[in-house]
Amino acid sequence: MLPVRGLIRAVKQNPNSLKYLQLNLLRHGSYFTSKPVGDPSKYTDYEITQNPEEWKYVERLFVKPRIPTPKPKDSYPSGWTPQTVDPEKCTWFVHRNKAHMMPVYLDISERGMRRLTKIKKVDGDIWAFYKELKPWLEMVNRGKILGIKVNEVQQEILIHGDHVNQCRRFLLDRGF
Amino acid sequence: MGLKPKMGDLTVQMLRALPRIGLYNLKPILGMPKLSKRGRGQHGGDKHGCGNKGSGQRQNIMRPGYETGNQPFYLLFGNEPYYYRHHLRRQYPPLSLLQLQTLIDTDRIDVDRPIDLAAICATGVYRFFPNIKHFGINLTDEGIDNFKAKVNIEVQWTSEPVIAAIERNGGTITTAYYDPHSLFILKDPLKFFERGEAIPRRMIPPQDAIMFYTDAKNRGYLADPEKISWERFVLAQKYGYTLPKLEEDPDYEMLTERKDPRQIFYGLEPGWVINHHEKVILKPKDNELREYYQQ
Repeated sequence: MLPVRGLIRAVKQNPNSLKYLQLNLLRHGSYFTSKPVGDPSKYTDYEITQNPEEWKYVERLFVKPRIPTPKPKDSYPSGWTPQTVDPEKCTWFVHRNKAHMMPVYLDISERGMRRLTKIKKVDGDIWAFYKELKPWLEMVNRGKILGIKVNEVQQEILIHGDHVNQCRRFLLDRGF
Repeated sequence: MGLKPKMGDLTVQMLRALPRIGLYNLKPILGMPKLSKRGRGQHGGDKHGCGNKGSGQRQNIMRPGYETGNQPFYLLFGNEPYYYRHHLRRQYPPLSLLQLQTLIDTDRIDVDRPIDLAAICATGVYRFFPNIKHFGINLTDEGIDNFKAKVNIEVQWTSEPVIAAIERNGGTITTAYYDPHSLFILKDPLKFFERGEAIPRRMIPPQDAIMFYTDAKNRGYLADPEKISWERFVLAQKYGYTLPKLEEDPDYEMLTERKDPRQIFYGLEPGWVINHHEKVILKPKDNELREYYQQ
């Protein structure tokens, strides 16, 4: 066994003995984290430029702090459209999310066996929305009875099964 | 060390100075039970756990997988090495034309400028991780019929119909290779500028990718521009559309803007240091250094 206790006792009695124990511990860092060595004048020379024309190329690389609001256009080839409905005339309203997309999502759980369609951000009378959505969805699905849950507190509606595209069509037709 | 050192400091200091643990100073813990040894003699040592007869007693143990004459399990099925050299393969996460058109419709991407990997990463909707061998965008043909934008786009991989869809609308497309170091820089340029390093040179493609990026049919960035303009015409004939004339386009300069094969960012040369805090660019003066960066 090593005489650890004896060493501790010796150091406690005579702290000067520590300097004989100390080793030159070097941390070999990377080139980029190392300190500059020697005189800075020995480094390569450079010029400092402040050209607004060149700076434009730098500025375009930065991420925008906010998602921009889409400007109105003549046509939207991708199928995306802005909301056209007047919120004051509606009993219920489905907001867009912060990326200006429709808040209709597919929840897959139980290793892919359970699929739920979730419509979020439903404002106003959520029950009126439910009464309008349910017959339309069942008509589209050829009379199939669908399990629909209304979560009034979370302002969302859960539909059993994958009906994301149908719900998006339903909302799009009504201008949401 | 003016003050008297604390007990914890002493221990750490001493531990640093003490020799490492090795075989020469290891000893069993005091009070460990002693293991019984292999018995000898008439009744002390019978078979010693090796049993009677066979390969167990004779210690001629069979090789792993050998099933005493049966066709071994590991030879029953052929080898299908799906993951062979997976750590060297390049991955190109897909971006569909529909996604690109949606990004343009919702003003997430500016069409008035050339679109490259940095512009698409800056939107925040493209999942791209260079550390798991992602090498850039694969522009796929989903939503090809609804693609109407006129763009100058630079991607890393694409297919012939996609090239046709972009050139039909009067746009241009280039496929360009970036080495992993440049990809990390393109993913988050601000993070790179904060490190205060000079913009490095972009490396040339590896051996198995150089044919793709020198081919005019793929609109490779190392291909001959004259051959590319010929292939543009050939593709228009093949897919049956009239090629819009680039020379007469009002956005001619934007549509024909290309990076140098050594360049990572548009308009910024390798060797420059970007100080985004003071909004200045530091450029090296040394001729040898400038030559190195432009080689």
